[in-house]
Amino acid sequence: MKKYALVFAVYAFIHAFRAVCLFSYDMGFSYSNTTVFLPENPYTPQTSSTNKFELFTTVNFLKSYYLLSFSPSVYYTDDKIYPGLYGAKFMVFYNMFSFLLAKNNVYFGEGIIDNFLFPLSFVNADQAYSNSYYQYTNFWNTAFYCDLNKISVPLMFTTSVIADTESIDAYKKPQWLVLFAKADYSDKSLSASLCYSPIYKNDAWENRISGEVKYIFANDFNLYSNASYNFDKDIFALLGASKAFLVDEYTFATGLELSYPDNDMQYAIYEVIDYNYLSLVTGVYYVNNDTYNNRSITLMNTLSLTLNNLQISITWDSWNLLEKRSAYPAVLQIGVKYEKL
Amino acid sequence: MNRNILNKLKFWLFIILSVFCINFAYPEENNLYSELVKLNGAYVNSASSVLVTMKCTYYYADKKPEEGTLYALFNKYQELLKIELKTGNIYILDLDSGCYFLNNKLRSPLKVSGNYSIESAQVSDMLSIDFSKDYELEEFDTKAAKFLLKRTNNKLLYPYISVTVQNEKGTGEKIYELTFMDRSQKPVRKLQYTTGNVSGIRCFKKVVVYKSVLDNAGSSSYDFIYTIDSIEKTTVNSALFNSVNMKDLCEYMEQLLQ
Repeated sequence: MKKYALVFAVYAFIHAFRAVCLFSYDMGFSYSNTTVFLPENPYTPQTSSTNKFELFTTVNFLKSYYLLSFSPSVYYTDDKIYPGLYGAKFMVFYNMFSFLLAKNNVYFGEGIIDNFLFPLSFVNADQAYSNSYYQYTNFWNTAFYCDLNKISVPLMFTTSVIADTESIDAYKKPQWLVLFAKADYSDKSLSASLCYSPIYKNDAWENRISGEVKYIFANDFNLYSNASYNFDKDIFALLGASKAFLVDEYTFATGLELSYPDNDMQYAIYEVIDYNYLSLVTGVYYVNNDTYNNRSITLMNTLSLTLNNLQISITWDSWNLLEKRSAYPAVLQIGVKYEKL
Repeated sequence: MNRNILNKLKFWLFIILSVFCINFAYPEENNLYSELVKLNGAYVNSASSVLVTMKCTYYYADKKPEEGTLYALFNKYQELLKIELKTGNIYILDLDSGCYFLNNKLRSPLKVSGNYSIESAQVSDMLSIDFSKDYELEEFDTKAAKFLLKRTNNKLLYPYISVTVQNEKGTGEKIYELTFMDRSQKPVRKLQYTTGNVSGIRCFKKVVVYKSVLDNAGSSSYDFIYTIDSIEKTTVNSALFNSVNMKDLCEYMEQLLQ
């Protein structure tokens, strides 16, 4: 009962504070359910499911030279309620410099099946790919930006640290840390990035250099390629092309990707269909699966419904279409999220 | 002696008068161009940041026209455009470093070419053009109040713009007809800018985007029309105008709109 009183007190405080100080605030929630269907075996149950429901309030102070926002939350998982922090952001900007300390969404680079520019791909694989708004978590990070575009030089420099947020939220020592220094060149059609990132994981440091080149043609045909190299002579590379079509109220985007992660080759073809509130991402990729020691065709499907700030998404990934389904795992994810942009 | 002075006076009077008349007969070479830049400068590249509210109409071949609202926040030549749609808002940030797209389905801004369509309009037609920075005067036809602009930057889609100036019937307003042309100066796209007063500022009030270069009148020939409702001076930190801070810039714009 005390917990509810505390939550109520926080809301009362926010409302009282709003009367004396000008700021904006929003409320939101997110619910996610992940069910893994495992192959038949005598050791583990065939399905395992996790649920998380999070309710949060975002308070924004946005002035012309600084920005402060935080989203305290309460979340429900494993039959228990915990207090938490959904997101936070502190940013100061002056001319071409900005400094950021935040728990927010971090993402850059291209790629649906892999993204080798983004250094987080190498520590937290399931967070890495796809630029879609559903299915992501917020990470604690700090960054310093220097945007030379302000003085008509098409370059931007970023240095940043991203930390293992799952451990920090559980009051534990971070298991991994990603540092990176990045330079971006960008004009109307060409963009190129070069990124140097030392990564700390499993009590050891690993140095990586990655880069990306992307070209957008006038008819919205995109060509992109990124690659990463660590000093143990492992090369990861990705080449992709996509094109968007418009037919009546439908938007189709077709893409092809070729990925070479660590002496392995993957091919993918995907289709994004947008119609009003609905969007469907569907694709197949052909992969040499080390775990099962054979080649397989994987199906990925995400259906999402977006009603302004409300998002409902259903994702179904099955591991192999060629074999009997019972022999391979599959993942079903259902997510509902209400959040302002 | 007196006659001599009188003759001289007559001669100079004639010279002055004729120069004066020439001025009337043939407008000064880049007068219309500098006026175009000045009228456009009410929002693009103006001294302070401005927030512009626009009413727009989307025209379709097989459907009734639809009304909508656009908001644009300008800081120098940089522009953030908010497009309100029934399926959610779309934000477009136009910078030197490219055109960025953001909606509530994306995690981070997506760089796009700016040539794709939203409803019946092309994004490049919704964004304002900076005639002083991106284009320069190439040719001037003194007789027909017509001039040709050439791009200064190879990255722009259209290499040439041909501009014809007419007076609107009934009102004292001017109509600038812009024909965008390709490398061989073949017309590709036609836009019409009409002058007017908005919030006490003289600027281009109405913009008509035609479906094809040949069509001239009738609602069936329009793609998209927007009319500027208000221009407000505002303050915004220019550091927010980059792809990394785009979400915060959108948030700031929302706060300005409230």
